[in-house]
Amino acid sequence: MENRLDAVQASKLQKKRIVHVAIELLQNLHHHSASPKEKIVFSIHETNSNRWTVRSQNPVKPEAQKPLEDRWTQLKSLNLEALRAQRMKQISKHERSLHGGGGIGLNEILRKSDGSAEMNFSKSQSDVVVTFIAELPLRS
Amino acid sequence: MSLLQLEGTPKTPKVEFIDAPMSLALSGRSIPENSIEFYKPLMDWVDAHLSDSSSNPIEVSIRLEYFNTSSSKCLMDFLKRIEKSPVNATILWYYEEEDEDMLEAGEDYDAIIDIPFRLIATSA
Repeated sequence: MENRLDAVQASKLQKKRIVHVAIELLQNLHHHSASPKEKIVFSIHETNSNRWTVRSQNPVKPEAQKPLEDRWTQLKSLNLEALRAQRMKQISKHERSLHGGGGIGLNEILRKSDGSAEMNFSKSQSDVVVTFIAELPLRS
Repeated sequence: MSLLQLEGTPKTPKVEFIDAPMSLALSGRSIPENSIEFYKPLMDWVDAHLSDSSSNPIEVSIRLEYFNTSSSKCLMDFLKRIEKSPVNATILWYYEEEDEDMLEAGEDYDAIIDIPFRLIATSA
């Protein structure tokens, strides 16, 4: 991915942001995916010559949907400065999430994608699937 | 002399902690899947070696290219340990000059931690 970003002459900052979002989404899949694992999807593709889209999809436990939606709605209502302030507050707290991040991952995905990330749920009879899509420019 | 030295990997930073003369340096990438496990020996080393108030001022060099969110929490714990220790420390926070995100991260830690920070732009 990084070689390809160099080849398409992504700016250093945007390259780092795309890598950062990809890492957060991959680690999110690793830590939070429920079964069935066959429904886990991760992709990065060029939206056009100036933008890349990072997409992840994974099943979640049905009871996780509401808290995740509420958290996402709250974060989406904040501008970038407010997201930064909230992140500072979260990292300075002593509490950690089970995986060590203190719940900062969603905030980081939104900040690094300049607010242009979306989260959607789809339901079937057997499971609930969450999809994150972040679209990032190659040059700032 | 006590030394904690770890080679950098694609997921974990290079670590060089030396006690005589005291210097602490982290560089590279910090994106381990289990950051708590990775940072535990670093925290232990800091707890064991930064207890002498008579030691000379020390510089803590942090030159990270990327760090994931769980590492950001571990970095905060690491810096808080240094803050609580009796040593006279300065944090040297390096960032690439066009990397405004890493500059912001340094500013945020500087705002939270009561230790002098020097935010240093590098050309590469």
